[in-house]
Amino acid sequence: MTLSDEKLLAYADGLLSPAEIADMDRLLADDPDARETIAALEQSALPYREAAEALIDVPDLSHIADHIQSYQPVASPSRLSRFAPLAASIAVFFVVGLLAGQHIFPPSAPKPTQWAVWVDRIASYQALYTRASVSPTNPPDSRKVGQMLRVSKLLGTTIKAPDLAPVDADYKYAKVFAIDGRPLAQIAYLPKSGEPFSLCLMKTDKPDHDPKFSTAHGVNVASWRKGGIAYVYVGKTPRDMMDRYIGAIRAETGA
Amino acid sequence: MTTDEFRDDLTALLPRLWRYAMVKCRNPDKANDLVQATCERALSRSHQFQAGTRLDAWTITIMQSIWKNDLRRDSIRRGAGFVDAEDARLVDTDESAEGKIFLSQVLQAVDKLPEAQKDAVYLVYVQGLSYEEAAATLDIPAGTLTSRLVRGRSKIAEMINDPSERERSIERT
Repeated sequence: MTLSDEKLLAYADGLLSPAEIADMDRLLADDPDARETIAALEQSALPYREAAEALIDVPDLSHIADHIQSYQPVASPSRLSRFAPLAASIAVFFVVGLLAGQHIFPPSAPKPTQWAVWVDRIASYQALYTRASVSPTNPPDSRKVGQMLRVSKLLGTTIKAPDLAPVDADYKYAKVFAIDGRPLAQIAYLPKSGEPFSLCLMKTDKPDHDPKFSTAHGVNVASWRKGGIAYVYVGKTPRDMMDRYIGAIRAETGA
Repeated sequence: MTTDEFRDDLTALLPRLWRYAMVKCRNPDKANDLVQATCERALSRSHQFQAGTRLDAWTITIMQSIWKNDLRRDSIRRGAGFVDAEDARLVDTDESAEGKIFLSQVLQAVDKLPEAQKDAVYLVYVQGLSYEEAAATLDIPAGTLTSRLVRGRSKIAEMINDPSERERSIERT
């Protein structure tokens, strides 16, 4: 394998420009080991941040926040001594985690296949998103084009990111997650005001249908199918704005 | 950046710092101490923070340094002992919703990685640092960081594809 790990990662993580992607595709065609690595990276494109935010509870930290706000510089570093007991019991925390793993995490779950379960799962991720979760800076066009090339390739059909600037929502990023071994694309938008929302796409062999609206995990959801692609709009978006965004998405893409 | 802005931004980072501390410490009391020590040092060195750079990456670097140096100072070696299993509780698993079970599996897969790979995956894919920022935080070359990410994610792919691999990973670690 001649391709560097950095190149392979950047390719799988959607960080390359269209020209770099074309170069990589050419090189990958002659490199089965690298293709195997890419396959593993695609299978491990998982919602890591969402998992950490959903499952590692944060307690009341107001005592630390108060200390930050009232902090007065002191010469002595003696406060750090409070940290000393930590090291005494650090000892292979993750080995213990492994031993205790059966208690920390539930056993493997049955693989869901139903459409409703899939929609529910997407909504549970989106419930974690706030404006602070999304960069205020828009990505360069080359990044956007490269990310959509990856999405199109993994979904096996050309996918265009709807331009929602006319309805005051900016494209932020597109990621592809592996959900039960199937690629699920997420295109994230940040409106001028209000919470971010996502358009998620997955291949389907089910018949087309118009948007159906629901609520899950405190998030508004609209799901529809068109031309072999299942679409899910998810966001804490008021219904009138949601209609506006979905109308723009469907008009832009023919979805 | 004014002092007030620095303090406000540091306060806003607390949940993220706490989660990373929990991943490292696996114990709320110790995570609390690590976050507190990190904030203390960040405040005392706030004059060194360069406006226009990422405060989250800078602060996590401080946390990493405290963690590493504390380990070194006390000559604690991996394998030298265990924390109490109850203290090792990282997440609440009472939640039975299907979506959370899947997220648990994701977090579990990360948790099963060797520490170096787990740090790399956590900093890039949970904390959102770039490859370069994560490498600087861990004080390793960028090439080492990306190799750890590739190895870590390849193991995660194995675990996701084959649940029994999780158990073998436990035995190997």
